[in-house]
Amino acid sequence: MPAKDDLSDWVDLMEAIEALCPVWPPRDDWSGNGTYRL
Amino acid sequence: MSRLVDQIKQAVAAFDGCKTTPALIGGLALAAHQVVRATRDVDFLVDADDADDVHMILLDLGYRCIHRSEDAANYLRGDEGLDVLYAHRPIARRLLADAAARTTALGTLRVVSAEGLIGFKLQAVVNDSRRTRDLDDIRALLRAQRGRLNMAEVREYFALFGRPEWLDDLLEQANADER
Repeated sequence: MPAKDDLSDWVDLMEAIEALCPVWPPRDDWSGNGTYRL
Repeated sequence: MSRLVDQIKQAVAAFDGCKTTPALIGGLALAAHQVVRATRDVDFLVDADDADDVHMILLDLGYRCIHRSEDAANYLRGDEGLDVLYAHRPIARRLLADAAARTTALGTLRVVSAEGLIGFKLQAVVNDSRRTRDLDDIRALLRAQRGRLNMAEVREYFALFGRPEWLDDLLEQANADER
């Protein structure tokens, strides 16, 4: 069996989720405000 | 194929013209560090010198800009979101420079280190204490990357945000999860 790459498990998971839930819920509000130190 | 996968592939291909290739951060980058959870958050770390180019690229792809500051930007296309953090301070610039190229199901992507991800997630939760999921992600990274993390670097991030005690608590919780 070929080795799975780094993100293939996530891709498989998201494909399954999108099949079950094709309409995504609204995203949370995100303003980008805050303290950035990095 | 997943709509989300298509979205990411399209953005990555469009970023090809950037002077510094953006790197994945956020929930999706967790998967490259053995923490797999459902997320549709698409987050990139972008060199601040590329900010205007990336902005135009995303507008050309049909996104609209919801918010943009010197530190971060937020784009939306229908129900598809894409968030950008700009690297313009030394730490973020170093994390972007050191981001490893990974061969993935989405093509070749640069991914920020696990230590850097912990730092960005800490920054997110300090900025918005409602984001407890980020603490869960940090705990999961500490568990999944046990023995492989540069803990001095991780401690630096917690000190930078004035939360050194949080790391001790999270390490204790991660150890308890193992038992």
